[in-house]
Amino acid sequence: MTGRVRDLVLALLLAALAAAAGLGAHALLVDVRTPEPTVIGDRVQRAADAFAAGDHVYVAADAHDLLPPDAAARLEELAAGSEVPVRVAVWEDSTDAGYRGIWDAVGQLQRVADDEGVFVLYTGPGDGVVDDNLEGPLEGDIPSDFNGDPERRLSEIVTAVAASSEGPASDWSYWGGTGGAIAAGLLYGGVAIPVLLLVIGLVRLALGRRFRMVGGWT
Amino acid sequence: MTDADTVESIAAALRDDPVLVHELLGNGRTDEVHDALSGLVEDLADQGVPAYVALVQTPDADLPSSADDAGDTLLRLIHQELGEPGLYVVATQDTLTAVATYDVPLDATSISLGRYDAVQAARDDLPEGEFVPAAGEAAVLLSVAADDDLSLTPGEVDDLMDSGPWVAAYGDEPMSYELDDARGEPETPLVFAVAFALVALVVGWRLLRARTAWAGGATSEPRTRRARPDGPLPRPRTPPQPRIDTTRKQARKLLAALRREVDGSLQPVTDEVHGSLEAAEDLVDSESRIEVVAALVLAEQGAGRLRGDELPVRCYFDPRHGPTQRRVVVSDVSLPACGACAEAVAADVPPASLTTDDGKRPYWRADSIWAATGLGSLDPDLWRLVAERQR
Ligand SMILES: [Zn+2]
Repeated sequence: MTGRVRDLVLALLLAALAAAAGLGAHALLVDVRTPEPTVIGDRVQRAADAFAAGDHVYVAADAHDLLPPDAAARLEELAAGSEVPVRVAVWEDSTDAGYRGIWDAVGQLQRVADDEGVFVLYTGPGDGVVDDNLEGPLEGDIPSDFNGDPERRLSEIVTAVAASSEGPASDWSYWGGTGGAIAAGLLYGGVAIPVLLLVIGLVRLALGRRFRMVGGWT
Repeated sequence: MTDADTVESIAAALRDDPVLVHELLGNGRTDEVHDALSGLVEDLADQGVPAYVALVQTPDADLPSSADDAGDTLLRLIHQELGEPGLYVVATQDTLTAVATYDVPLDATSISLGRYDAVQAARDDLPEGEFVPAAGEAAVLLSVAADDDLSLTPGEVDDLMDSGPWVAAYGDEPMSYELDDARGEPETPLVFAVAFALVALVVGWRLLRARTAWAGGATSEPRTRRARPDGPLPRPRTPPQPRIDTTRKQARKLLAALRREVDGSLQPVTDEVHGSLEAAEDLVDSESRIEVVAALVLAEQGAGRLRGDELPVRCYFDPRHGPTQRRVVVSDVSLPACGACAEAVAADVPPASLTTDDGKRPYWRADSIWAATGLGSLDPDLWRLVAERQR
């Protein structure tokens, strides 16, 4: 009887260790599957630093002719008033500035900013991108082209973002919530148990021992 | 802060520092590019050739639309503004990298040709998607200008490319959905933890039970062959105990044959034969099992005596076991025994003895002529004792 209690305690201890190992295995899997991130260059880093410091509008040193300081100040005020967080980066287009394309740059900005919101990257009349990393869908009509006067167009975009709202995040869950996840875990584990016992038996056979272990289930 | 965006401001900056690199041509590592180019400019200055490098945003100036001509034009404008002799390298995001020399003993055309060869060699070694940016091209131009032959060998190109931030290797930033896919569902870690825990709990329990059973002395033998309850040591095999009727039948058969032989004998039989026969006939119909066994012994001994054979001696512990095969020593007494009883004695196990009629103890523990003679196995005069007892 005491042997049974001791074995139960040990088995529960093993289960706790295995749960931690399961979390580690999942983290490892995520690590392996995650695409290699790109190296953040100084251009993106400066914009991200400005956003982290609380700025809503960042104009690179080469882009003050695109968006002069007084225009940037007006846009900053507009962006600061938006309920949906919005960040605007403005810089001259270049192939040699540390990122491949503006989609890569805006992706880097979102990654480094580590903050949810709508990110606008403007590189001159006709060129730019609006992207968001909000949890829920952005519900609103955001202009998707960047034609016309920079300040006017960026103001229109920021105004449209301010007028939009973040929809409720989808509560759809692949596993069907916590209960579903536990059930799925039990199911997968249940399938794995006979497989593992079979493997143990085959290893025992390979070692020249009997397939069945001594003792029983009780 | 605002980058220089006029020819005048660019020339002014170059006057302070012969290397001017704007962020938009900084290859993502503007400071590093600036410092590395400054090193190459200093190397050239050591050879007596001053150099100016401007990697800048396209300034407000009247430039031709062709990228090639625009670079050359901007370079000329900057030189006019700066008014210094030397090697000039100028590039913008919209132009090719232009090179020219003013009042120094170097041929710009040769340098430019050496540059094309070297950049081509560098490109050949680069994986898909990587390229030599304006910063790398400026480094190549400065290195070619510093070379005696105004050309770089492939090995020199490799060394140069490895020496600084001269290659653009930007890669693709993973899209957010790719990262989401890799991360999986928020509850997936829970699925992993539960599955692992369940497997460990069940399989661990089974292994622990096996360990406990093993520690308790179990072996990997199947249960039917393994389980032997704790208890006395195994008994050596003993011959089956014949029922009394079987013994009686056997004795009668022997007696009938002996009676025929004795009656038909032409010569007179000895007292011993006769005595054995009569004693056995007296006992064979007895209710007592031990007396029936004695009848069997006496009939056999009578027959042996009649034939003049050596007297047959049966197992001391139970004559029904059969003839003596070995002698065993018990409490300093030598006793004839059958094979099974000899083995039992050797194993220090009580032999399967014939019991007294009440079945309570071995016959040889009782106070009787049977015990005294070992049912004829110790004393050949059993027949005489029986005859005396009858009287
Ligand atoms: Zn015997």
